Amino acid sequence: MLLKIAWRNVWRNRLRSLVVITAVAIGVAALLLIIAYFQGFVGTYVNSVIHKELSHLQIHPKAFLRDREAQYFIPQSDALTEKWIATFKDETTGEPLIKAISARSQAQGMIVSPKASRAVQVYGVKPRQEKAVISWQNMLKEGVWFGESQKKHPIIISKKMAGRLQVKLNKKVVLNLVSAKGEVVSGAFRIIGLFESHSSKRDEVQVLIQQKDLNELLELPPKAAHEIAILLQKPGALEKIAESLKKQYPDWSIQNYKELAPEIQLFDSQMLLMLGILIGIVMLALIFSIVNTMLMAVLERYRELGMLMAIGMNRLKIFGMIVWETLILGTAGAPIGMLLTYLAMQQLGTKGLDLSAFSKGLRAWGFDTRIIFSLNPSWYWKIALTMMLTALLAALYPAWKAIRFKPVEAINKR
Amino acid sequence: MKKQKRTTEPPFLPLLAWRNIWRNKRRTLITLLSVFMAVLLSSLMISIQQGAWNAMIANLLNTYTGYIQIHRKGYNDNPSVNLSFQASQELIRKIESHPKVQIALPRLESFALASTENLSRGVLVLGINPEAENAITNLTARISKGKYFAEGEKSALLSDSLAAHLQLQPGDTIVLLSQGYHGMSAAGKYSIAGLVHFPSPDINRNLVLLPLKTAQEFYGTGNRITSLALFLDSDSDVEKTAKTLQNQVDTSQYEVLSWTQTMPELVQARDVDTAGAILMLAVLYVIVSFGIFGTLIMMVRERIYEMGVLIAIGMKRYLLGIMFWLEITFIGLLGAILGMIASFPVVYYFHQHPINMTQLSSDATAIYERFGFEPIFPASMDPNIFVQQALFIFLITSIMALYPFWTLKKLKVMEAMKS
Repeated sequence: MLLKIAWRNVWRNRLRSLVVITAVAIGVAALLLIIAYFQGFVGTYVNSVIHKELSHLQIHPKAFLRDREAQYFIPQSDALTEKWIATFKDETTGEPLIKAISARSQAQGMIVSPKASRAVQVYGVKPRQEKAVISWQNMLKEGVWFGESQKKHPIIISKKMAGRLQVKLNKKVVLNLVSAKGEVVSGAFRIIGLFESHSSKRDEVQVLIQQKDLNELLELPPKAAHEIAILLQKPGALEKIAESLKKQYPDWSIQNYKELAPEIQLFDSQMLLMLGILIGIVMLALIFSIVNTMLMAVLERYRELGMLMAIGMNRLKIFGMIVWETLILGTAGAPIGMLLTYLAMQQLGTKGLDLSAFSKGLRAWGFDTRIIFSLNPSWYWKIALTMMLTALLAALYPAWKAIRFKPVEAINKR
Repeated sequence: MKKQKRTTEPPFLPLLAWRNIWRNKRRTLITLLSVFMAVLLSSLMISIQQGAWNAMIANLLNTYTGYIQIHRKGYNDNPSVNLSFQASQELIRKIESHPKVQIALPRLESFALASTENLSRGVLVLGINPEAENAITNLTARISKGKYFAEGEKSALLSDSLAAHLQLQPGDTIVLLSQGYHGMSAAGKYSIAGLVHFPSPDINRNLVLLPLKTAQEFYGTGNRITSLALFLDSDSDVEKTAKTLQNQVDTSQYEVLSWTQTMPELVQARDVDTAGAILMLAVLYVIVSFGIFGTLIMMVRERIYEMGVLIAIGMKRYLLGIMFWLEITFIGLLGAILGMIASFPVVYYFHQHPINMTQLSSDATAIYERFGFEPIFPASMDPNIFVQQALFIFLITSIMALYPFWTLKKLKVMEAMKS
């Protein structure tokens, strides 16, 4: 009954109510979309980091992490990877938990072309395994992957590096490295492919050659590796596998992508903090609108309210009526805002937002230029609830004002 | 009938408008408060955001890259010692004669493989004129260990992260290998004079400084250099200065580039961040605008009778419209000005005592380092920031003023006086 009266009262001044409802709708939609943007941003980033750079787990001999010398390697990396894929299985389904493993050898050195030279990080990879762990097929822009070319001693470099070295596909470059025995060695390689990743910083230093070629240069056994990267089927198995490996191989450092890229944790916590502040600010701004409107609505009806109290409507009911009115005013806009968000997400959640105008700046920090918005459905309810609480808070002052009228004075006041 | 001559003065609208605002104190105060809050928050947020970026860029420009660089034509796209040039006295004189140019520092820059007994690393080698550089960038103040070097010595300064990685101390020897001018091998042994700390973590990881002549000897470039780094007396008019200098040099041989051209990714990164901040502000302002509009509607609606009477006794409708515009603009601007005033002490405080993220959270340091950002945020005192907020509010209220004009146009005097 009270609700019905409250509803009708809201619409007595249609334009004024519509203004507040629109403000709420816009506020809610804006908040949800900003949340979706940031979730999408972080999600895309984490995904990129895992599938294009770090994988879920990385294993290095502790001595190698400390000194980066070729002599600290993992022997028989082949046998190990096969063993791990076979051992780590889901307890219920029996499915392997590990999707793919890539064992790589690594060295620092110089790449030299006829016109220029550059400092580089050289990765010796096994073609099939590497491609299964890191999505090179997406990043390879020109040329072919290892195994598809007949050239001896192939090398794949980034387009940026090719530009700096002033070389093209099929040209030769020379790599200068320091071997396991501490001697400077060099080898000639032919460029068979050019890649472009999401991080221009990485592109500037990373080059790929075949593991057997690198190990030969470094004078290491052919299956030696300095780094093993593991890609899981599902991220949930991460802790278990990491723990098990740490126990089995105490001399090796086992790190997950969050430890290797600590900025991911920063994103998460910063994002929550910022969203919290943003929600607070938007709600605060909306409170002003609601209070202002409701206050006017109450004060201009002082005669009517006085009359109601005079004929016996108890003050609690009056308070309740005003609170209902405020709730309606405050929350009517929320579903509209959510609908707007839903519609916008159809486009933004699938095709995403193209920020290629800022591509240089984004890639310098390792961010993708296309952000796919992602919104956890629980946010819809969280925001709706927050809106309701905000409206309730906004109701207090006007409702209190409403019950303070002295009926006799109110009726008689001019 | 002859038009009657006006015998009274037209009303002084601003005074009327001001008085009218205060007829409903509570409503005016609430609306004021919302504008105040929005302007306060926006000013704070933008000053910190701009301040942080300005500090980071100024740091980079003043201690390392300079504001403008002059290279051999084509060097920026394909940096290489083969595109080195001889900087004639005439060229340098012409450049330094520009009023904004403090000094043009000669530099030789390229890559090398740095090795110790067991470790090696790719590094950036920068050949500098020790005295001239120090005079401008105050390099000696940033020496964390050891001492500075002098021109012609076979000694090097290492950035401290690099030294830590290679496990080197002042007094140790470092070997550099590279490809020099026209492909000749470059190899040299240098003793480490000292370690230097750079605020930018990126630079701090990979830099080896050599005296210019030593670097030229290493790369076999003779007395050629790869760049002239220009340091200006202030960060204003950088682009204009670059253009002027461009016109003065032989453009078939040289290119004159400002830092926005040599580091476009920095400009874009700042733009993206700024765009994000502005977007959030826009949301805030949209909501506040609705609040102001609501107030305006109420103001107009409840005074229909009064407006009817005024028009009936001869007041021009458009004058009433202007009065409403003044009323709503006063509220907006008053809120904005109060917001600006309130933000000053806070902004000033953070200008003098920049927010140091490392104190707030220890993870923050490692993380900002990965992005090459020093985690210190001063607030910017740029008056533009504050003025922009006020202008924005002014714009919003002026657009909204169309509503009362429209209402007044439609107003039928007899109906109005019956309400």
